[in-house]
Amino acid sequence: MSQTSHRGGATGVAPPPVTASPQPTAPATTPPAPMAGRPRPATPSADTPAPAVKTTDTPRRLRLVSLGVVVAGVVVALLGAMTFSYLAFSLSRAQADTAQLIRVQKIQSNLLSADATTTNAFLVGGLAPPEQRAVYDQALSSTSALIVEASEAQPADATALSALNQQVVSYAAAIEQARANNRLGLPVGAQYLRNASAELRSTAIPILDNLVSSNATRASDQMDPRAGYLYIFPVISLLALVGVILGQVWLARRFKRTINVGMLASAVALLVITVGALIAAQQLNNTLSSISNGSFAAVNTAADARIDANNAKSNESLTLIARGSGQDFETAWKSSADSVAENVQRLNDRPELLNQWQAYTDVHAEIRTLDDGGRWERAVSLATGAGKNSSNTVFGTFDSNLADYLEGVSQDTSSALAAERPLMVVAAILALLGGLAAALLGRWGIGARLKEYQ
Amino acid sequence: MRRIWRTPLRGVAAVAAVTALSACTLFSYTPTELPAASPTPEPTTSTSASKPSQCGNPLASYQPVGIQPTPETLPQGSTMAKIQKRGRLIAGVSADTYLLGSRNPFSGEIEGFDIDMVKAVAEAIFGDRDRYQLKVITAAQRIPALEKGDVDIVARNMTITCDRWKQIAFSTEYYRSGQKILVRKGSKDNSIKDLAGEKVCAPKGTSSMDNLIKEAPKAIPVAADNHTGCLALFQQGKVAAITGDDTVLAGLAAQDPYAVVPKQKAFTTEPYGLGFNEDDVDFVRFVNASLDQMRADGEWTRIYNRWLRDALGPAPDPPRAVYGRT
Repeated sequence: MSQTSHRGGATGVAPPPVTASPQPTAPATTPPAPMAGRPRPATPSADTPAPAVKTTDTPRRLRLVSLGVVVAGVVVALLGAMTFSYLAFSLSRAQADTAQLIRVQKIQSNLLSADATTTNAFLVGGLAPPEQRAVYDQALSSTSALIVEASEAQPADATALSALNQQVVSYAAAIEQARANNRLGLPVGAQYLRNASAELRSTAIPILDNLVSSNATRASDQMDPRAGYLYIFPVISLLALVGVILGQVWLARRFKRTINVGMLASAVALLVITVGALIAAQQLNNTLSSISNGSFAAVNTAADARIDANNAKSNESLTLIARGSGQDFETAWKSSADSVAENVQRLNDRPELLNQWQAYTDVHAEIRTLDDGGRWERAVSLATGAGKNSSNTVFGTFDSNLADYLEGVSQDTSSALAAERPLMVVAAILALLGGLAAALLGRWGIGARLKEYQ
Repeated sequence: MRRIWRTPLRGVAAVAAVTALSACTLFSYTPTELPAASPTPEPTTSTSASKPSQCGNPLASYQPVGIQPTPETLPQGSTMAKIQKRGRLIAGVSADTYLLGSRNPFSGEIEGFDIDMVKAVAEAIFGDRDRYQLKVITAAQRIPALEKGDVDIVARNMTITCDRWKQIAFSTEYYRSGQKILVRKGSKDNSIKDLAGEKVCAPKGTSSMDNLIKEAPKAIPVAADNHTGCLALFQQGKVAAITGDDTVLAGLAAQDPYAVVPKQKAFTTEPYGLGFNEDDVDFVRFVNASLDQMRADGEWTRIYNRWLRDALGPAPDPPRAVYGRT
């Protein structure tokens, strides 16, 4: 147990630097160090009339510089390819995590909507209306399908989803038992319904809450690269550039020719990589933060609102079923309704949603006034009817619009994440090619000097 | 999932080889945790059995005074006049005690022996049997609902006891019930003493629960919110028996062909009374007068026959009114 959580912890904290940093820092800083020290012993050696030292020492140093440039270039190439592939991978994971988040949120709102429908149908009488029965069946079968799908999509959720599946099965069984008894006109039917609803809220919903929060954290972690992590590669690439420049400076002092074309080209390649990587990192950072504050935030807000709204609708029916002693259900309705209003208010690009929710809370208030005033039958007909101003119709309008909106922002998040991925793949390839080019060009430039000693 | 990351990394085979080992842990998530198992929500075991206190004859209620007022002549400022002004009688009832007070799923109406008592009181105050509002309450809510004034009257198979007289007031006895046991068909148990070591269900906060603990200390008491909750537990095999008043058990047995109330002698007597706020003495006297009238004119017997004759046999004599409380 502690082992897994430790592994998980390591995964969460910016993984690539852990594996990547020891490698590049060592080779990238080592080449410049000897190079910086080189000119000093070289200058006195030029004064001394000992050509033997000069001829044997310089080629060795040239070879060292050449090796340094090659190592720096290869490190930049590999690290660049790794960094950008990892970012591309992160993006696809963020996309998958968002899809999973939406899946589990959908399971939750489906279940609560099934519960809301079935409790509402109970108010009507022994024989549930076929349309409501169909809505319940649809919600429940799509729940089962989503559980299987979600379990395949994210193995880390498998245990929780299998526990959830058990709860859904026992919920469905209890509802069938409730229905069978209700059809016979036996009060024990309503008891099974109450037990099933209570059980759903005390066991299945907490599992779903965990699933939603785990996947929300996963997705937002993937979308929020820790500050340093995006910039490690540009810094390494910059260090390599500095190393190549120092090599160039040493060459210029050591030999008559001021510019070594190979080394210059190598430096230019590294400069382009550094600047390009910085721009790409910055761009990605901006896009990710605009997604997570934009459409992804809207996904979370809208999904929360939908879950709470269906919970409230279910409690409205349970209040009426309890007939006069449903204060606890009404209190639960109130707290869900408050959180719906709060969330819907934040979706400021869709003000009509707030109006539609308001319209539903008005109908609910009317139902409460009727019931509290002793007119239970009228309250029930308002709560269960299919008329234009009935609770079911008004709530249905809000719920289906919210579902559409949710679908839209989910799409936006997914496509915005997908749009970034080709850029990262291209960057990975360019960094690989550029780094290798820097290595080869530097080696070729120094090779020309080495030839003078052969 | 893993194939996705392997493909782009294949180009950098050297580094991939180094990271391959750590990859498994690097690229998978911590499993989603299951919520901590909450302490089992079902069978809550009740343990407290309060000692019955003595108060002379608990059945003694307040005697009606003078001529019974009609809806037109209710004394000013009386509890009945206040109810009449409000326009409806508010009664705390059960909606799931089959035959006594339960919601008919076909009509949506709550109906039964107790509900007919409420109708009779509404008739006496308004001259209209339908001027009442029902509040469904659990057994444990009966006394608080009266004390807080949420309801005017409780008609919910409530036993008259000395303990309860300390908090509320009762009408005269309107039904004589007795506590029995309900068991699975084919069971040999036919007395509460036979249930030692078995799980037995009774609603929490009721005299049925207190009596169960007193009469069968070796049985394992399991509390539910109400008797129908007990039936659900019984059908799920979570309890072996249910104990309660014979009227209630008859209602449960009628819902389940595998539940029977074996032939047995009731081990308690449960005199039912209508419950009132202890300050509404005028209302208690008024209702007692109505009950006297129902006993005399055969209305009580008609109500009994409508609800209980099929389950419990022909109507006995209505319980005798006892007065003397001051």
